[in-house]
Amino acid sequence: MFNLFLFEYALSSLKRRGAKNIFIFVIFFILIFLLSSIFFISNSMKYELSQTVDALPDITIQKLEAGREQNIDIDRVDKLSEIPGVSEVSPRVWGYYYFKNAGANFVVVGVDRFSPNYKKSIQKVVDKFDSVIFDNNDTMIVGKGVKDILEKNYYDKYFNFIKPNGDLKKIKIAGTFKGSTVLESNDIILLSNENAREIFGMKDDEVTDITLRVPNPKEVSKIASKITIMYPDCRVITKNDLEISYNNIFDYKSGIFLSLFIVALFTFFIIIYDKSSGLSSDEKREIGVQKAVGWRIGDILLQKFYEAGILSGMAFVLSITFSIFYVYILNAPILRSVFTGYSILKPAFKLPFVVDLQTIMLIFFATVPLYIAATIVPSWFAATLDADEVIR
Amino acid sequence: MIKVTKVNKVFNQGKINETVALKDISFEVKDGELAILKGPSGSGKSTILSIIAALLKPTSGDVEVDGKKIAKLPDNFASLYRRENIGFIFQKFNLIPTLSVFENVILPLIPSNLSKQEIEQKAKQSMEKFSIYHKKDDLAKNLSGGEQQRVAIARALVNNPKIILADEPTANLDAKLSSSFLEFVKELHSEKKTILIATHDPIFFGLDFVSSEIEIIKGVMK
Amino acid sequence: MNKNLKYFIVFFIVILSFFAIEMIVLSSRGVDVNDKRLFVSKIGLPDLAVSTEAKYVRHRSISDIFSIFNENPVSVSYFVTTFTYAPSTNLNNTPNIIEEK
Repeated sequence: MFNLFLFEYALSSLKRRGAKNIFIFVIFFILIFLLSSIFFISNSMKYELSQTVDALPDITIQKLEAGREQNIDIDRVDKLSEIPGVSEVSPRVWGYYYFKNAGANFVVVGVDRFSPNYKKSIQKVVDKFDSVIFDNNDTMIVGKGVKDILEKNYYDKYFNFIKPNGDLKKIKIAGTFKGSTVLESNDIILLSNENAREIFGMKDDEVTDITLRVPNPKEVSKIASKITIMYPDCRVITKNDLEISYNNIFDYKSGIFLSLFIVALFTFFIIIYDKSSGLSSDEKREIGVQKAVGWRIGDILLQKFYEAGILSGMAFVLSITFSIFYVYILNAPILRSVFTGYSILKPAFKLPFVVDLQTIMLIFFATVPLYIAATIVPSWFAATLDADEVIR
Repeated sequence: MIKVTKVNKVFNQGKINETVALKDISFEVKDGELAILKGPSGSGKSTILSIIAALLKPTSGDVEVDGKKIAKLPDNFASLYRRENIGFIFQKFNLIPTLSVFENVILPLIPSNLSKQEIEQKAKQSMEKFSIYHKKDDLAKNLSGGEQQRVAIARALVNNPKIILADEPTANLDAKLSSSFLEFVKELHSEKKTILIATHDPIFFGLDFVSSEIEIIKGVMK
Repeated sequence: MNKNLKYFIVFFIVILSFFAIEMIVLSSRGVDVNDKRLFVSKIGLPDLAVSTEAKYVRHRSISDIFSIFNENPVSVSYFVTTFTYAPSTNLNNTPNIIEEK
């Protein structure tokens, strides 16, 4: 049965050692806030990745020379289309364009042709799509980050790419990718294959890589092995490989979780060391008096349990609440720099809301019970002393 | 009734600082009696009180209270026994300074699962009896010596115990407060409480309502 | 019910309501998965445009080992985000060994 008076006594006991408890509360709060924010961000990013993995090409083929990616001969496309099970082979021209003035890297992606079908579907994800400009050959659709950078550098409706030979190539902007795709499209520039080749100075008989469509998922690995035998100088990446790569994005090798773990452990060690190095003489005396007036050890421990539970429980609830607010409504200012790094082009950090019970329970069980135990154990030691010694 | 039979207490047994605090102590205090344990400081009076209150276990010997053997009670039962039967008034009062008068007085009642009304009623009764109710929200550390004593007594009696043990109750009081304490004792005695006071204050000696004076010198009865 | 308990209950209720409100607000946020999937299917490139510091961060799932050792074999992680993101499992050119059953 719940003893309200005991609970009130625990509350007043917390208040009586106010300064120390506030200090512990704040440390706890910061620790759990940090832990949960980083968990939330990484879970959301993984979720975002998992949402789109299905839409990726079934097989991607890259040529590697001395561990370095090289362009592939375009005649390999025909041989690849002959493989049974392969429904479509798409050679791709894409790469990075470094805009020196802004210090930004753009991802330039060429498409085979702006066919009517392609135009119809790509329009769905483009804001302010200008059809007239689009139908003119030298146009591009850019991600929001690209648009912002260009505008900052006074390129409002077009951009001048600098070709490898030093000449300029003017391309008009026909639209910006929608805000809903910003996490995927922020730094992308979509234009025709011809323009892409011109900008990169790529020969007509070369492509950056080749993607394949294999309608039957069961055949993918067989076809992948076949291609590896056909072209031993190529690396074959299946959709499954991409999915695995997505899953390991935040594994134990990623420094962030290792350092988080160390920080958490260290903080805990400090708090628990302080708690278990014994109670202050004041606290011991109080326990002695309680025993002397007839409190059993169980009553004393229950009181300490309430105390520790209230302190750590409240800190936990408050920090989770605030962490959700911080990550999903404020978009994690400062902390997001850990995930965006030095990049000039940073997307609006609007992550999908993914808060699952598992993560919250993990954080809870890694923090609250430990603190409660650290509080109860020394109290138990003090409570089993002869009360007589303590109160004399 | 309190029956102490051949109680011995040795502290730090087997170690270098081994001390024999009590040797073969035996006495009886019948129900409703007021007994004085007298002797100089360090003679072991407080130790006897602690043993009777089951705050301490004797090295050997027996203590019977109302027919129940309490010398070797396990910790939980000892606490319960204290809660229900004993009102202990400590030498240094042992109030919790950062709690209010009210909170100090109800301390013995908190773990007992009584209702809010019962607790408040008992506390009020006890505080009014010892004229400390008007200060019920004051913090214990802000009270005068006499007021603290009254709180300590109110706390000891809040559960209406049968037995009252007082350890050097007047040691930290002036003459005026000492005599008012004596008045309290008289009143409690008239309520048929069993009272055992350990003291070397002469104001308790030779009184007519004291049934026995037990002298202890260096842990041995005289 | 004493003062402390009252404050505690009020505090607790305030936090819980705030938590409830933000959960409701956030759960009702529409998510345009279709837009994202359409975009990715048209462009065909993996990974998010969250960090564009270097190729092996931006397109980590299809990047090569050379770009990591590009500058100097010793200076593998000199971008902040190589601390955050683990290197891809595809990095070492392992052929696809997972057999579909």
